[in-house]
Amino acid sequence: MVAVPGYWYNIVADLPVPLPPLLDPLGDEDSRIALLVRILPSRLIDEEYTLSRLLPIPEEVRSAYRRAGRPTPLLRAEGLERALGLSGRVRIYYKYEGALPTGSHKLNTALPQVYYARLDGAVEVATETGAGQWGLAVATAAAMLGVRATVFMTRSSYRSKKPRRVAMEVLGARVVPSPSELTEAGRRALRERPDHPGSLGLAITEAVEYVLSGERRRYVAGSVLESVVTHQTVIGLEALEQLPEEPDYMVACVGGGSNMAGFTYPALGMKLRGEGFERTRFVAAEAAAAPRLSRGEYRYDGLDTGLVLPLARMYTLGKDYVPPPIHAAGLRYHGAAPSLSLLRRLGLVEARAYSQEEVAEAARLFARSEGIVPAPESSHAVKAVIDIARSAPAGTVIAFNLSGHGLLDSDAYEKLGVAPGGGGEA
Amino acid sequence: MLLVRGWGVQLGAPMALSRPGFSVYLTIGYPGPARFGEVLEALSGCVDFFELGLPTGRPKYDGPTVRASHRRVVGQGLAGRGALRLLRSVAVPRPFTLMAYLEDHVGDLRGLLEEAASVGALCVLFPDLAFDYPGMVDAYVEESERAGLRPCFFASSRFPHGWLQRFAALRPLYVYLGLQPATGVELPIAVAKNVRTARLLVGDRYLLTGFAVRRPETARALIEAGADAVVVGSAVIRALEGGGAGAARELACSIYRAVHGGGGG
Repeated sequence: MVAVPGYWYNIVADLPVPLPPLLDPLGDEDSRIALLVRILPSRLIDEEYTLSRLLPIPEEVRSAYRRAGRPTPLLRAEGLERALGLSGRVRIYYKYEGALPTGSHKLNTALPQVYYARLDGAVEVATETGAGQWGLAVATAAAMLGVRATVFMTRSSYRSKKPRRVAMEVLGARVVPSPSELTEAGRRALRERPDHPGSLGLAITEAVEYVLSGERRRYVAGSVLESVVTHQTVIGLEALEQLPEEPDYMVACVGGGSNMAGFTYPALGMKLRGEGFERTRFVAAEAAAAPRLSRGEYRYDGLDTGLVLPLARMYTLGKDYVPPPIHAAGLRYHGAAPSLSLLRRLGLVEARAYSQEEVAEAARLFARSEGIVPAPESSHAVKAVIDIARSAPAGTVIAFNLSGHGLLDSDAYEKLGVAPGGGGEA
Repeated sequence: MLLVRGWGVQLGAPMALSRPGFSVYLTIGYPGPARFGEVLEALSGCVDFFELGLPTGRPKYDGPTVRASHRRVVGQGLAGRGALRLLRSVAVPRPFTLMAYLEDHVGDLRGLLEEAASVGALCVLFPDLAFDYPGMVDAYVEESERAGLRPCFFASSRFPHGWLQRFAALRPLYVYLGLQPATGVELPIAVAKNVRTARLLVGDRYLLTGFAVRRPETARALIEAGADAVVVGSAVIRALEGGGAGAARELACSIYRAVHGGGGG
């Protein structure tokens, strides 16, 4: 039996070139970086700026990980191999983060961040969410650790993802559709576009503004920050212990990048240090509706739409980009984690973008062959795996992260026509 | 002791950066070209060496206080290499290094380094070298040595270990560890732990630390964690703004004493 790791892995220590720093916009007299001390939990900031390669996981967090069901299983996708007609030719493994009680990997960083917020004396945490996986994770962590949670949910998802919204509310969280009337950023967005579907970038701005407007509140970040992606390496560290063989490909979907980073960084770090995984290729699967790694620019841009947070050098579609309201709402972010962006820039990570229609077909195949309905976001990884497997030579080994299940995404699958009763509308 | 050329050669004797050491950062020409020399003189008794910044319109890694000092100097017509002319007329009373953004000088790196050497600088630190121009490190070292300067390198608190080791192998005058995300901005970061890690990676190379150091006890803790020297900029500039050269000197002297083991009082 694999144990819950005692540390997280910080890939910044092993990057081939230094990670460009976060910056304050040049024209401003105030420092957004200085403002972080009022926004983020203190220990999260410390983890963001550390030279340490390994960060010890606090025992309280390890304990919460165990309570939540970590380690998650690593499974052989024998059914998928058969369905593809590739049994005996290609071996496919997947790490199943959907086994966590919130149904996705997001709990891996929600628990430490809410714990850190509580260490600061916070009584409330606020955040943004797209499809609701992150919001549900924060609501769960807040309930487990005894603090209040306010979640700004992109308006399109607020309407379509009712099961997760209700689950968050059952857990005690307040869920607010974004753009909202609760913040100046939200009111401004609604004035400019009354039917605004929301975006993760705008929801982040709202959550940060909300935190700054009150006492004893902290913002908890769903992705992108190095500390956040570092928390997710608990996935990859477990996988290193569980994988029976080194894969030729490691695949994960990308929204902000924490899922991809969490699954691949421990192995990628070994590759960078010359300790293994020399032949492994690392593949990011993203939504064609928000193809920041495939078609974005590598430059400094705002982490959020309102520029409340500092600038980061990353692949971006532009902070004002409002992706169409696709069903994989968790992938509707304009940028990607700076370290993942840098690795993509250096050619150490590949990227593939898929439309929701082709992803839906992959989800159907996976569900019917493996008995798990994948989350629409995770289905992008499934699609990439299927494509790779079909063209791979005999003996190829593929590992991917099934970052969540889709049991609360019936709306998406119905609209896409994956479920027989669905109309197939896009 | 670490022998250096440049300033010391001008005076006919090899110079060393003292261990421990204390440095003050000032933007060249601040608070104004006419008063710059007077401020240097006022601080000189409590400074082992100065770090002098070339004024720029794009002080991208600096926090609000240092950015404001750049704006003020640039607003007075002093910018880039033009500021070095001031160093010819102002006798810098202690050894000094220069800080400039490579972005501003990438088209004439050799010219800048030669001019820096000619005014007596020990090295030119480019904080954006490793981040924005990682492929130019070797060229920078070569050009520095060609100009008679030692290289010096900037690293942040989220930096690859291999790069710190690489810097150490290039025999720099110092490796400057930026303790915080920007100058003058203090976040809750375990800076002493980062200094200890950096020390392990750079071996016995001269490790200079800075960004948001404002108290004698902080400076002392950094030395005890393994730093060779501490540089203070924003706090001195704020003291200058608030109480003039006397207040800046008082702050510098209290930190100087702490660094040199005499307490901060």
